[in-house]
Amino acid sequence: MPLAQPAPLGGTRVSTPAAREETFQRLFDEFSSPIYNYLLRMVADPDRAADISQDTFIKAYRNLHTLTEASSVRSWIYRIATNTAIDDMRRRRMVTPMAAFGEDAEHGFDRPDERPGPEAQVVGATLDERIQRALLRLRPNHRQCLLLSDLEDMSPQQIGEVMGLSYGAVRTLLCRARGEMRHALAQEGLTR
Amino acid sequence: MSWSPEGGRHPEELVSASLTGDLTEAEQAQLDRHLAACQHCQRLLASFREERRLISGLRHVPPPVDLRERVAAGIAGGGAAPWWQRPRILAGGVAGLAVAAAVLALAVLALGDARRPVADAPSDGPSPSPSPSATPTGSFPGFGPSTPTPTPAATADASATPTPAPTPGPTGTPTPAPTPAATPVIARATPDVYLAFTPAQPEGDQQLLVVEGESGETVTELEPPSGPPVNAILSPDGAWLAYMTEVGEKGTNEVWATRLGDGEQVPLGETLAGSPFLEQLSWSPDSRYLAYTLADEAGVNAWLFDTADGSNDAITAAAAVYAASFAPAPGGGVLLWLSVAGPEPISYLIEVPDDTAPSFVPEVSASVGIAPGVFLPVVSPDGSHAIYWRGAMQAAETGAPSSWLLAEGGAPYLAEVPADGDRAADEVAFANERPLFSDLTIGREAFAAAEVAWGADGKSFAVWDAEWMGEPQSAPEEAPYPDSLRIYFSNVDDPDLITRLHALDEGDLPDGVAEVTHVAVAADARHLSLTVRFPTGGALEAPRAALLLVTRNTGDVADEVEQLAADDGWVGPAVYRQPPDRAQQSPEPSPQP
Repeated sequence: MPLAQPAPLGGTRVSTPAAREETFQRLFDEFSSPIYNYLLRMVADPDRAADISQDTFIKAYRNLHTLTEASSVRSWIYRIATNTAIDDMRRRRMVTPMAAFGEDAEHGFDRPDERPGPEAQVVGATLDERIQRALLRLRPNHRQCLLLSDLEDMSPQQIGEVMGLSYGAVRTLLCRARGEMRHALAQEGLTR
Repeated sequence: MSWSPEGGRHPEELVSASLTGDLTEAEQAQLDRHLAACQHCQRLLASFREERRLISGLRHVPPPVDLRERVAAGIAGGGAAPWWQRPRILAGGVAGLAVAAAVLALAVLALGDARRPVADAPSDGPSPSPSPSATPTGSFPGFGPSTPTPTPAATADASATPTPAPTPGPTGTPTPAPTPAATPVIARATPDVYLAFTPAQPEGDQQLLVVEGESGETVTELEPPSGPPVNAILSPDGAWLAYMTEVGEKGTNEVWATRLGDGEQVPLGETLAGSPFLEQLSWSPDSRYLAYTLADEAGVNAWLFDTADGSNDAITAAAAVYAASFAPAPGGGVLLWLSVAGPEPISYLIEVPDDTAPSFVPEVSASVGIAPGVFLPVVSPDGSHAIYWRGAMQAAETGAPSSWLLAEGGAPYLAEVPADGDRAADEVAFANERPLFSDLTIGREAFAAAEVAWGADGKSFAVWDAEWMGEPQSAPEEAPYPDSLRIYFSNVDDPDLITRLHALDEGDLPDGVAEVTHVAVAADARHLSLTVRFPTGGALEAPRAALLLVTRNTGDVADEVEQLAADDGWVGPAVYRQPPDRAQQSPEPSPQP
């Protein structure tokens, strides 16, 4: 049975060590890859994404008992992943590596700029890299909700469960995020 | 939502929600009617669809092959509580820091085989997980000696001497100035604390937090003000934080002081906003007094807050007297520079008495010395230098209350503070005075004002928010110089002080910044914390600012910029505590030219 279905309350899922192990293995099998990809797009660093993924599943294992009939497994594991990523970003203070993306050929008066100009950087990068760069220009909460919506195909209700927001707040946040992403993609030459 | 040309609103939120089918029947009908007649929203819908297509098409990357094993090892290893859940030590001094370091060391040892080899990991601070990807540096929250947090290209370490700001080489590329004689300086890239303000929202209350820079943990929560903080300064002993907040749309600022240990918060007064000269806050070297200026119905006057007894009094009763900064007094005691604004400004150095003094009256009251033509001398943390202004001043508006700005020939200067024995009679003769901007021609139309701050190292300084009234002194194809959105960074040992080449990279600031609100310079003289304000849609929209940590690089290496704190809302200003060995002592002998 896919773990995306709500678990029975007080069922065999975690009442015994064996059940716990089985439940967790299924959780890992189903969600390790999408969680890793979500985190990779959040932090744009494979090593960090791997670390945060590891922390996420360790926390999930320790908190399996908090899964109830009413909770969605998917929202639950993404909430753990999101909060773990936020903690990581706060600790590392590397929310937006702006120097990598904030420069433009017209802003280099201070010193000779031997780095490739923005056009060369854009042409040389893959589409994936350019979309990732655009994502990194976004505020973290905008990046989160956009990835949950467009990468993970979550509904506003599900996004709200993950981010702790109301349905209305998610709709508003998504609209703002799309607006910010539109601008960011334009800076990467991907949209008008 | 934005406004449509017809005067109504573009239903952008409905456009966004329509991508995922999250509209009610009524909303869908409303959107369909609007789209039939609105090209703006038709284009918006098309771009949102393309955006969603691009994101959903991102390449799927398999997770690391050893992720399962790593998770299993982490679960099996158990491990101590994450480091951020351990007791936080605040202002605990060296002893407390040693305890904290020991706790951290024990936790690191308990992490077991799940840790990656040190050689594979960037050393950027302790990690909370059983499998950290970083080597703990031993840094711990609190005030006092700490190891710096290296940035990817940084080479600073705990024993590093301060790196002077770059000076331009023959090709115009800044190169490091000669390093002064090595004196151990506590180098800490991240600010000691910063302020984070969340205005009132439908779902939440206003909040003003003091946040520890290294850990991101809340030090104390303050009474929320009516507007964001725009200036802050930490007392030399780190016990008090003085700050200034905007009063909504009123055009005034409030001055506050808070004791960080217990969160005691003292409102000190309200003043006109809009002039950098009215935002000057200064702590005495012994951390007892805070000097500041209030412009109100009574005029512009200097005030003094005494942390010893909580008294808060005006110390002048004239029309246009500004509190500048404290200066070390030979043999003990505290001296304070006051400046009288006028067509010919003049500054007075006075003694700060132990009890409430009668108001100082310029030209009447006793003073230790005077400096004719000098306005607002800001003495460096070590007392060796001062940055001040010269030029004719004019009140911004006729009648009280009003602030004063430089009207003709205004420019900042750097000079050495003379030793006591060098003072001739009443006049304080600052030595080796040089224009701060060495490549600017100061004519009649020059600076009206600018913000100036010394670095925690006592040698470096930053200038920003420069109000230049003259024509830009740059080539037509170049960026204007000076520019209010640029931050100019140098140090006293740089023979050129500030030139156009000393501006931080324009790319250091994100697009759309409306104003650089505050700059603080770390003791390593290589890192700056910038508070940058973004424009808002008007009075109904919450103010927004980001706090950026800039690593100033030299030559062709671009500056590195990090954003501190992931929070929305307003983050900043940030403050650095002066290293204890840089606190003002007796004045040093003036160096020979």
